[in-house]
Amino acid sequence: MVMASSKEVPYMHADSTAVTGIGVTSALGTGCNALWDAIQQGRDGLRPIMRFSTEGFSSGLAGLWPAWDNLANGWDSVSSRPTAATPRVVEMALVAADEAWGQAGIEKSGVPRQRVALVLGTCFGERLEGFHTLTEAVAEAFGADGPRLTISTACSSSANAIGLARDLLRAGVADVVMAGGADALWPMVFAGFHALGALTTGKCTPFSELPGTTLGEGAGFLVLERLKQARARGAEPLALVLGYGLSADAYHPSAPDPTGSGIGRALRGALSDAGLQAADIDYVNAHGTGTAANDAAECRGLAEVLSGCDRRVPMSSSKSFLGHGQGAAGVLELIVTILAIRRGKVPPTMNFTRPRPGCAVDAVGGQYPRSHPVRHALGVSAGFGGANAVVAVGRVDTQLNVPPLRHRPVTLLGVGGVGPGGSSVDTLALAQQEILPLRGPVGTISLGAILPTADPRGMDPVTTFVTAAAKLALDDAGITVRGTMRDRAGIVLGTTRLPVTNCRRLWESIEQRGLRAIAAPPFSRNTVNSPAGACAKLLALRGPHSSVSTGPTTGLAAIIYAAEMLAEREDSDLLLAVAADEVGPPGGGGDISEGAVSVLLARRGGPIERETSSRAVPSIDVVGWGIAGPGCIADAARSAGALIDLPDGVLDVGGGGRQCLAPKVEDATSLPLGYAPVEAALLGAEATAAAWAVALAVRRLRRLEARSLLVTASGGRSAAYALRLAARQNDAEASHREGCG
Amino acid sequence: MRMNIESAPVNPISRLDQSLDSYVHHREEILNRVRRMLIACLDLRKEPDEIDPDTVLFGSGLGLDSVDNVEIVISLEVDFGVKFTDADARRRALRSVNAIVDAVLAADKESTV
Repeated sequence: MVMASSKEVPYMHADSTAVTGIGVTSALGTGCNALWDAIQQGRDGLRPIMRFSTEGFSSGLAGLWPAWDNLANGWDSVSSRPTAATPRVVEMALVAADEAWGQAGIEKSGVPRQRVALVLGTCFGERLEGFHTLTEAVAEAFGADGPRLTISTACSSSANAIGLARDLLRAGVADVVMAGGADALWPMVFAGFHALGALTTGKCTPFSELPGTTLGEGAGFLVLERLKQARARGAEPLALVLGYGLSADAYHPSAPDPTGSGIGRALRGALSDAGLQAADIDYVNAHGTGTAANDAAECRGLAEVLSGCDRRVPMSSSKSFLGHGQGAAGVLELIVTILAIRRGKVPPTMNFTRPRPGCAVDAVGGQYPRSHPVRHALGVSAGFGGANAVVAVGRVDTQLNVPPLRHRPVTLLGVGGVGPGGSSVDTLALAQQEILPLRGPVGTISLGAILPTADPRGMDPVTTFVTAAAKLALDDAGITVRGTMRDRAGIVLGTTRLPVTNCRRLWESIEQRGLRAIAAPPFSRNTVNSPAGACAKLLALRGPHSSVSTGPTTGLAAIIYAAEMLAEREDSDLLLAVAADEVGPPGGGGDISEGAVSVLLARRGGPIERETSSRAVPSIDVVGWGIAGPGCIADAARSAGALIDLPDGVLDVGGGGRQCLAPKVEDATSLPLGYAPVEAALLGAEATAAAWAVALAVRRLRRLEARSLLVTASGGRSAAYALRLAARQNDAEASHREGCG
Repeated sequence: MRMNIESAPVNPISRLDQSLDSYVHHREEILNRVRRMLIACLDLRKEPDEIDPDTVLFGSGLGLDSVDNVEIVISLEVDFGVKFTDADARRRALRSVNAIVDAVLAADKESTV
């Protein structure tokens, strides 16, 4: 499992990640065979929508899963909200997961259940609210008792999920990871794309005339494991996942950066992570939504990175077969790509006539696949909020020249937070000592006072909290993100729901004006990652960008994902992990407490830390972390190295931390600084509670009250986490001497 | 005051059947409704009288974008009954706050004729 140390250590698990199972449900039916047969026959899955009325919309077509053709009209006739009759996304996900699981033969493999993880990417979850619960339901159906992680970065969700799954395998958190995504087409989503003017009247024709997209739905999963393990247990490796890259456009809630540089950063990240050069790429499965804005920006980004190769490399859009599968699009298109690699044929872009201006690419026109051997391919995804993800896949016999992985030490340079009643880390610390519960709304925050350049227009409460907390963490570290630093600075958001106030405005517009007059601005911000996207724009965080949701452990999940990326990836120097909750209007289904906490992480001894070297406070290092399945908090604590180097105390969310050091310490209350259950002071702060615990730990370490502390988070059915923080010894001694002198 | 308005370009509203004072009053009323609509539908952090009638909506003015554009068009239809028949008319009407007021007044007149 993951174990960071203060020295750079060669990686223990440097091994390729193999795909041993694939499963899919899409507009082209159920199963990989149905999918490829249709592509082979030049038959797309775009058909008239019968599920809800499309009268008055600019399009009546979509790529819908045929198994749901006979659905009753499952939506409230006034508000278009889901009702009891609304299909459950989990059905679609389970069918796809079952195919992948069966093909990989995990049942017979003897891999322990706790070593099987699930990472699921979804844009709208189960009926627009259940994000981590969707992942948990799929995991429970297969007895995947390892960590269950949910990524929600709009339309790049499942591509990011596959990347994170690769990280979990490489870090030894699991031996098998099922990774993918699922999303259904809801009337609200269809209406939103219509309002944005993004739908074309007929079938979409990416890179060609006429511009506009066609929506879709589906689910897809890959079973991933280390190549060595797959071979050892006699499973057939189908392809390799070589690497991935994430980035933020930092540009606009729904429109892509027209220069394509956001896509370009994710492409470069994926190439470097995979150890590939631009010239190694034989095929690109493009995001290719068909909209004028996307296709032109994507072509520019690809042209910039593949520098001249882009005209040679075939680049097709599977959305011309499947429609835009939203959060599932990334995995659906990677599955098409893997099938293409295995068959030596690349799928066409259907309905391609002549290239649109600005899209001078080889889009594989025509109706049938083209014979073209593919060794390495890229799948490109881009989502609302400017979240880009690119995944590199390759043939099983790919010989790569990847430098040996290093696990680099990570340091924590700043914390910032806004909590109930406008509270800060200090007031929270007092409340925690006195066990005074803090709950309820944050109140008015003057973002202008914290960040003078911020334009508060259209900023919903949770976005304000996220941006304020992130800026306070930067201020705490004395860092301004500027110049070339911006491309290597990123954000990982942890939150459990769609922005509550914004979401409420969206539904109100439907209730008051009808589905056809849905309000476009709130729709463009109606994604889980939208506060991160807005914050990235305001603070110029253009590097790695992600958004996780794991229930009551979410805050720590975001911090650990950020630490993991800094320790093992090359594409960032600075990451802000931000956890956020929002109360929202009455009846809006929000949290009962709210706020945001941000932690600024960087590489120890890296360029960012050098900027802050003259600070008076002792440096805090992130000396270990662990992720384990739900309830397995002791495994997470062991992975964090807490049993080898006992902490002075445990700060806990969820109650599991008290016994997490057994058998060495049966009850954490007997540690010098004891055991502190943080949620006693933070009632109902679902995502932020665990991040507040980290902020409190940092405060105690800086005040030299402790040498090292363990923060734990468990509860819920997603995962358990542990993070070990330590004051850097030399610094602590130096400032102690100064204090005594 | 009177002189200023007299020398302004010809307005879409007929002045034959309305006194100038009531026209000015009516226009002010519409302007304020348009300002409130803009604040509500675009979540502007401004008071109504902070929005100058000559403010340009896009670019350096209110800094709106194409997504907001859609919302203004829908709100104009829902709140004021203004329907645009062609893209040119829509573009002209969404140039500035005053241009929106003109469009509302023009639609008003059409429907009362």
